[in-house]
Amino acid sequence: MSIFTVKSPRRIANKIILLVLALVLFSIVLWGSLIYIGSRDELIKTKTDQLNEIAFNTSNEIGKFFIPIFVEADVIASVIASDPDSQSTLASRLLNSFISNRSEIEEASIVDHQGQDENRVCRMLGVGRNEVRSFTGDAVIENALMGERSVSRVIFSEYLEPMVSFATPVKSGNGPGKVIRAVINLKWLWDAVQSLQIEQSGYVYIVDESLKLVAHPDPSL
Amino acid sequence: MNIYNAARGLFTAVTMLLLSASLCVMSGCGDKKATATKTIGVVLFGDSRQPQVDGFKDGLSRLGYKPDESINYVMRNAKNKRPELKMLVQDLIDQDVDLLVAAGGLEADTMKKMLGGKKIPVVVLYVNAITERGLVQSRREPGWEVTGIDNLNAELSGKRVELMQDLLPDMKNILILYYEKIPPSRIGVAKAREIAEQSNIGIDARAVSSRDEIKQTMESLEPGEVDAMLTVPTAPIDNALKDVILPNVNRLKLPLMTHSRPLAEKGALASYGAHFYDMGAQAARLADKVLKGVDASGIPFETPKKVIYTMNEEVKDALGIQVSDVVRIQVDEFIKTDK
Repeated sequence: MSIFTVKSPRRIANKIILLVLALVLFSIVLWGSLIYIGSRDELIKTKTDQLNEIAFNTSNEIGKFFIPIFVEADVIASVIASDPDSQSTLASRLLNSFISNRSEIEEASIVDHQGQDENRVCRMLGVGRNEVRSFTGDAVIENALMGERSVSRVIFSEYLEPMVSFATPVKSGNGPGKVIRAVINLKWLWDAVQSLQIEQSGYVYIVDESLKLVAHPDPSL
Repeated sequence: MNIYNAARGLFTAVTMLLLSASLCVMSGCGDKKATATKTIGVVLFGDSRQPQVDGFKDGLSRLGYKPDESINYVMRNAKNKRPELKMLVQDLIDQDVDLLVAAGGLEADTMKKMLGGKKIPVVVLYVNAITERGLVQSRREPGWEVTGIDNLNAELSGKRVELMQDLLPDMKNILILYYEKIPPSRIGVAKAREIAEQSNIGIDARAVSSRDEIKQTMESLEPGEVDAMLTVPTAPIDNALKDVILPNVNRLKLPLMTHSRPLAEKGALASYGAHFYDMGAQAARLADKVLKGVDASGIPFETPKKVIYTMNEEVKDALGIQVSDVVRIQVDEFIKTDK
């Protein structure tokens, strides 16, 4: 697992750049965009305030990608809150439905208050009935158990595809807390990136909050 | 006077040259990539590869490529003959096409061998076990100009075991036939075994190496010896499905889970795997990047965007299998046997 850092090749200097920025604000990832003429380094140096401001804009393709996923996770969390049995048929149906409805979700699970999977569904990997997985020490899960939605940094899978995991708290009010955890494949964002035409010489970046590259039409960058 | 005339001539010549150069730049001449129609050489081992090729062409059309205008296809079909495949690939290499498209893994392997050091980028529409079969050195550094879609067909074998458990809660052991020499076949067994062991299910994996051995193994099976059967991606076993495997699973009333939708269409109970057409369409995006000048070796092989769980309703009913609410959500489509 590694994170690609953004290079600033000379060949993109003085071209139009659309930078899409992600920030974790109000427990939700918001995305925004800015069209700027100049190099990436100059952009970051001179437009930091604007970059922060545009993080409130959720009307672009990137926002449309994430918001429905979070909303659906919230709905699942509220239903699970009313059904204490995480291994019930209802829980399995909800997780399977989440994966079936949203091809960008690679994995969905219910994690108990001790950080262990109670029920898990993966699109590609099988899950053994006796398999136990622990998230002890995982900041995303721990934050969610404290009541806050949390999103991980971008990681790359063994197939070199960018992923983030997120966790949504199940606020039942009764007994120890649980969270809904899901892994999102950001490969689907590549199509959104490609659909954004920035004139003929434009480039589109998607970076995370620490300005590390998440997606770009030219993966060699 | 002579000097004046010479200077005037030189000025005129330079002016004309600059004018020509400007016109040339404005019209894009000299920039082959900006104006030339791209030629794509597509190779199919046989007709069964057609769905992914159709998806690929439709995908490129959606990206704005127009056949016979911005793009020319040179189609070559080996009709399931290996010697033909080599000749067809060589023919396209000799034509110096802009891009080679391999409809499957066999075509991709052949292209790698035939290209030698020649630099024509390759996009593969459907392949598995890309490092194990030697198609690439590694996912990060393939070692030549190739990219495409890895269908993860072998790796999905573990997921198929999980789905079988949901579908057949009383299942205790699963029969798998496999070819030791075929990498996806071996990987499939390993992945299935991994999940089965974590679920207290036995895997009865039997190595075969010919159609006769497949027949012998299937015909020697006794009722109750195994509870279900799973196929792993192995072309010779797929080819024996209709005439050898299906008559025996029907005789024994064995639920058969497979890796490919066409096998469910032929009469297997179910399949879980990438959709051929969708993978072709997904690969079109990669081809678009390559045609625009991105080095194919810098574009990692992608995994399928969609994996489809197909169930043959006729077979399910014949076996008397009751589908639970969870399974009903898992299944993407119910089909009937293709007759």
